[in-house]
Amino acid sequence: MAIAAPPQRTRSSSRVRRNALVGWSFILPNFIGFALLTLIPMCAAFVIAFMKWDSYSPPEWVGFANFARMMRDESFWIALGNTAYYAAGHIPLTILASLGLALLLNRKLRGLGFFRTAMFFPYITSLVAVAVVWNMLFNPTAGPINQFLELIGVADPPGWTTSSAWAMPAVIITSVWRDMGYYMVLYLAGLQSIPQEYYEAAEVDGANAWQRFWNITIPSLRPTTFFVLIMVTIASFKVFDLIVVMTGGGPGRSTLVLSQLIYREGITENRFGYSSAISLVLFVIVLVFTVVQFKLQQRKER
Amino acid sequence: MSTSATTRASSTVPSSAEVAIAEVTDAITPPVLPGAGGKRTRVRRHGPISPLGRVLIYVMLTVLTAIIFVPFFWMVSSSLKQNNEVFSIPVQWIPTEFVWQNYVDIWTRIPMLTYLKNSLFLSVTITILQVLTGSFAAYGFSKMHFKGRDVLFVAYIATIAVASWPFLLLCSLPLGPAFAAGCWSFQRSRDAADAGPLREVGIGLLRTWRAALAVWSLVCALTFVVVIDIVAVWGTPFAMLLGPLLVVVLLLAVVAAFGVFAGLAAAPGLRFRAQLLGGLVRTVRRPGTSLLSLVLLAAWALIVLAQPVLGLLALGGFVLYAVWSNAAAALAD
Repeated sequence: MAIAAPPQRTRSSSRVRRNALVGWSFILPNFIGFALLTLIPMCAAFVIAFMKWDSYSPPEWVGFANFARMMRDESFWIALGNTAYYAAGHIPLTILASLGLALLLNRKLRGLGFFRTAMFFPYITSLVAVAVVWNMLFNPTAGPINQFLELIGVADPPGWTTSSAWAMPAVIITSVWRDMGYYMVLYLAGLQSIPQEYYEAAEVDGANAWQRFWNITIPSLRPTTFFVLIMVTIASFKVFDLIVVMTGGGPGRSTLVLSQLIYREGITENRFGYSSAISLVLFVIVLVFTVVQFKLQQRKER
Repeated sequence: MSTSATTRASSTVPSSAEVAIAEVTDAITPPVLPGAGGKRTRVRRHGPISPLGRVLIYVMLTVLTAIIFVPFFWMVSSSLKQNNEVFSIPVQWIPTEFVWQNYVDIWTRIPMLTYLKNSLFLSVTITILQVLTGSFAAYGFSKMHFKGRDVLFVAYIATIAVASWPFLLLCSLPLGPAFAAGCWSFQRSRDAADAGPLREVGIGLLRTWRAALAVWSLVCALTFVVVIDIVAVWGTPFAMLLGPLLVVVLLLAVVAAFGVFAGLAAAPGLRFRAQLLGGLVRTVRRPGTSLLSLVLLAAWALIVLAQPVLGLLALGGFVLYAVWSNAAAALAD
């Protein structure tokens, strides 16, 4: 090989150059948009995070001052806690609900298509409409949910979006309702890729339905669960629109989340530097969670 | 393994605009079409379901579907109510009087048509652009092998900030192997009289560049952190205490790196971790030698800053030799 290399070099190098040209031209259209809308703003945010920049004065390098300020900012800690609260509720409930739905809908039934579509319906509905309707359902006095709770004997039903203790559970319920159909579809795909032979062999060995579920279904779904877990985690940490429409972060700051704080500081208050610093922290948090999940998954696979 | 994990991980953290676009496309093309999938997809079954089980499942599914549809039902029913009837006690599930006028009003009271047009324009444009450019780019990334592809891909997902002096720091990376190769050449010239110095530089480069690059990257990373830290504490009361401390740590690291280069030349067989540890220990335990190396390097840096050509060309070798022999002396005992 090494001996035959020199005469071929000129031809192969021109081929390499042509290849590069063709390859770049394939990627260029997408890359222009990606660079303008994602790459450059993201890089800029990393730099702006170390600047003091508002609409009154030119940007000024302040080093870690934004981060120091964040440490002292009560709103930041509240938003961080609320984001964690939301994630802690949203992630497990969504996974459980979508897995349950997928198991229920993974069989031969008449009208299966209808039921599957029904479960997927919330996901394709406009999120703003969903939030507004749920807000009405959660109305503490006249909403159907509290009237139903009173009907079944709950004397003092929760105030939902008007109470600082119940606003977050209300948001979590809405988000689980919305998201479970989407992740159910992912789980259905996972369930249908499990070979039928496993179950037949287990049945021959005398395993009951419960044992089959724990020893075949759950382990075989691990890649799907892993993917769903990552997607749900990222979505939870970045939740924004649902909260803005449903509660606006209130009452008080009881449902203020990090994305909303970034929006408020950056767009409303024009503190671009501080806002970028918070988004950098959020980025690192999401990154750490994702990397940790990847590591755990790798260790399990070994 | 770990790098691929991180790059993949960061690729899953797109900006909110990306997510919005991705969600639009996701909603249009879900992995398995739920409605159409009912008949065509392979459905698993464990033998026939008993009639009782079948009824139970249907009851469960119907109840679930009903619960899921409550908000939609509420939405439709409210849209046909008078305003004051929406929140009534008890709940009015079916309007007492169907107010179809609501659906006429939305076209006259608000510019509904404009809103619809805007939404349509956004979704159509985004979908077309995304599918078109995305499929092209995916083909380019997966099927074409060309120069710069991997770099570009990493840029896509890693999005690292490039500022001016950190960039220079990055550019200084080749200096590490160069210094190490110099040390190697000096060492060989001393051990064997007939060794060609330039040839030994090449051999040294080949033998030590990995370790030297790693060490120098560490120094660069440390420099980066220290500079950022100094900028951060500048002007605060901590600067008095932290500033000198950080500078000393950085200088120690630079001297230790040269110690490691000398060690690499003297004992090439040693493991990397042992080399690193040895360099550090020698730097700390022989403060006099370290100080001398530091003074030499500082003087050289000053000369280079004042007279770059003279400093680099004429004095570089001498200074490097002095630093090396100094480090080698520490190595000897």
